[in-house]
Amino acid sequence: MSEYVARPLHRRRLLSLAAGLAVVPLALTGCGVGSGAASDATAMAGSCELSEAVTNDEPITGEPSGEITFQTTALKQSFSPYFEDLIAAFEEKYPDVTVTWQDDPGDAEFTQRLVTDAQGCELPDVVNLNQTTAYALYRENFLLNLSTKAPDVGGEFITSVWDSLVFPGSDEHYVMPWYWGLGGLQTYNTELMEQVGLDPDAPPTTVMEQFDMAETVAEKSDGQFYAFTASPTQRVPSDWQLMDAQIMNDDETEFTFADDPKILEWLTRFAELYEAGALPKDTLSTDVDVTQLYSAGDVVWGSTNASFMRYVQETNPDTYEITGVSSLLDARGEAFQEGQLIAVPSTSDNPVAALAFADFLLSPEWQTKFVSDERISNFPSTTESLDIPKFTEISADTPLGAANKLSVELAPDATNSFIYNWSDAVNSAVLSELQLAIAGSKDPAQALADAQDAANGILADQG
Amino acid sequence: MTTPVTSRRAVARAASPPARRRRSRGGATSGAALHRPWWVPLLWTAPAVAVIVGFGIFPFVNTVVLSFTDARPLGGGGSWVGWENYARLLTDSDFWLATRNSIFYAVVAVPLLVVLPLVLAQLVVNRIPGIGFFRTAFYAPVVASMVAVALVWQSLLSERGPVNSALQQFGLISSPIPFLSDTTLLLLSAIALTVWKGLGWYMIFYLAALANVPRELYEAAELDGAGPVRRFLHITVPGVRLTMLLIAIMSGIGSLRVFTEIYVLGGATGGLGGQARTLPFYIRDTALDPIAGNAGYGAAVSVALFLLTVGLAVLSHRFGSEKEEA
Repeated sequence: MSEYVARPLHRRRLLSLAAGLAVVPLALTGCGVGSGAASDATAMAGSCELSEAVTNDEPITGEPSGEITFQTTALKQSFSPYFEDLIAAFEEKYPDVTVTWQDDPGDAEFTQRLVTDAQGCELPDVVNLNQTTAYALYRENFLLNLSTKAPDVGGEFITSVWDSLVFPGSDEHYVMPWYWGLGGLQTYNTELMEQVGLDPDAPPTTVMEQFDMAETVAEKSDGQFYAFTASPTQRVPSDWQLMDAQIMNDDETEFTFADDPKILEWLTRFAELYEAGALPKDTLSTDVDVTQLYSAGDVVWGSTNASFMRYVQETNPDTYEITGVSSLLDARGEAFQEGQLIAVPSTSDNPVAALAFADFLLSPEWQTKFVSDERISNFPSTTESLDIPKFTEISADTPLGAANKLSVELAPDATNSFIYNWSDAVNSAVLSELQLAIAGSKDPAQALADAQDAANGILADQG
Repeated sequence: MTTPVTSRRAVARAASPPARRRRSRGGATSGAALHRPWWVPLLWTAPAVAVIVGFGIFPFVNTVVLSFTDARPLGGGGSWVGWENYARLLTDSDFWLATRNSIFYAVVAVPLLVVLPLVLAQLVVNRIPGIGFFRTAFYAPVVASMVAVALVWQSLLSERGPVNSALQQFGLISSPIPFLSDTTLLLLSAIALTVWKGLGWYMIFYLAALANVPRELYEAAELDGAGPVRRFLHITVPGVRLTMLLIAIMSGIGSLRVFTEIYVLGGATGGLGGQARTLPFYIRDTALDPIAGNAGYGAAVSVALFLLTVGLAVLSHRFGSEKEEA
């Protein structure tokens, strides 16, 4: 008789075995990072060996040919025809090149997916990045040095935008600007302002004035609506930048925000507003979309980004019609430029074709076509593309038109002042302390000191 | 002089009925197995072994090795730092807070996930008209996306959400319950979500187990005068005890892996001040940031989570053994 007889009495043994096998991958598979040691002789990006062509001091030249991969972020659903035309035109110009287009959904896992691609030395040849991810890749040598390898690439970009796109500690360029938006606007529900006796024609011009008005909202709204969300995620560090507070030291090696009395005042007053009922309590830690709250008429102030107006227009036309728009630039006096970037990774197998495609994508001709789409509220990165009717002949008759007109007026002076060392880890550590102070669980000064210690600890740890 | 023998065998094979021929072929196969090359069994098992090694054992070993380094998410393997990451764990208050939260999560969620699906299964085990609808309804949350479901719960439990509004309308509370901003309530809300979403899944396990409990036992107990509660406690529960043990282990592992519920309900910081972070949340915060992440330290936290998970499995096993011996 065969030995392979079922042994039901020993099922517990099987259970133990199953459990043991289950926990091994369950607990740990998410954390594997490919190992690899940098050789002294070979230039490396993470565990990837870099070719001589991308690391020597010579510009990259040659006739584009072969295959490249191009990755955008969350654009396929709405703009497929544009990119298909663009790629067809490029392949017609360079018949020996084949472009494979892929689109990342751009969700919360975007950076993690790119990190995984980088670990596997499989980054796309031309990739659309945000500033945080670009800096992370730059720090580990994953981006092509454009100042050396493509020294002429910056000629047609808006000078202020191009000049401000360098990473801390470097005066060389590793990324190219694409489309970009503005921070420094405010949108508000004029009817709710009138209900509590505020003049919608005289909106706040500083953050502290806005806090004063928020106090009025708390006093007179009878809990029916709030001033703005309690989530510091929406306001830090941009509020501090608007107030011209000292967030880091000049060479960006240390956080100093706890030493600035303006920031202490900001936190103290924010906590007072929370206590007074000016802000919805449960938005302090949850990531509730301010656009939804605004659209529903639950808060007076909405997003600081003009593009959100389109959502309000679609979801609640009544709220859209009574939306006011103005700038809120405080002591800073100029708007933020927040942009999408294009980079060519140093690990690309085909940097010649990749650079040619990036140049084609960012050319005035194709950027003009892109931003001419009425659905796009962003600006192009080339000077020539700004000179189109969409930007020069705007009517301010509607809230969206007013936001666009104001954006165009602010655009020439806008600068990119992204704090590259304000990483997700720093953001999380600082926000955690701010939340405790806002909720009244911690003294504001102590919370700021603890936040600064935590942020500097992370900075020191990252090297 | 072998030809006659061969001929006799051939004649016998031709004359044998099909059934006998099948047995004969089976015997021939068994005989052939004895002469199979030694590597054939390895060949058959190779795909499964490759999957286990590639997706289970290699990541495990890699993580243990990484936990002794200062590796970065993007920076390659890093340098050897010995026990430094483990020493740091011992004094890291955030790690201990996350550990406490994870244990709390498991301690509350596991008993609920062991008992409630059994009650549910007991309610829908009988084949009566329309019961399929209820079985489907109870199972529906299992197939829904956790993110989508958590967003719905966030909306339900918010300050102005339907739950608080209903409680206020009935005069049960005067001000909204801070389900999402109080750390303990946030954890309990997340546990409720985990349990609600897991009920249908584990109910299926119990339905399969209940089908194996002999009906005669219920009939005999009923004749002896045992009521529904006694029958449940003395026949059903012992009958599905092994399934309960399996579910305890599985739900324990699941509870220690919770991330999405806390992330969606409590926000990116993991509740107010990060006070509701669980161990997977903490691993994500410490290891995965592409700029400031420390994959080595994150790996050490992962190993701690692994040990905690093994500890829970062993405890469940011990508990089950004692019950059986008793």
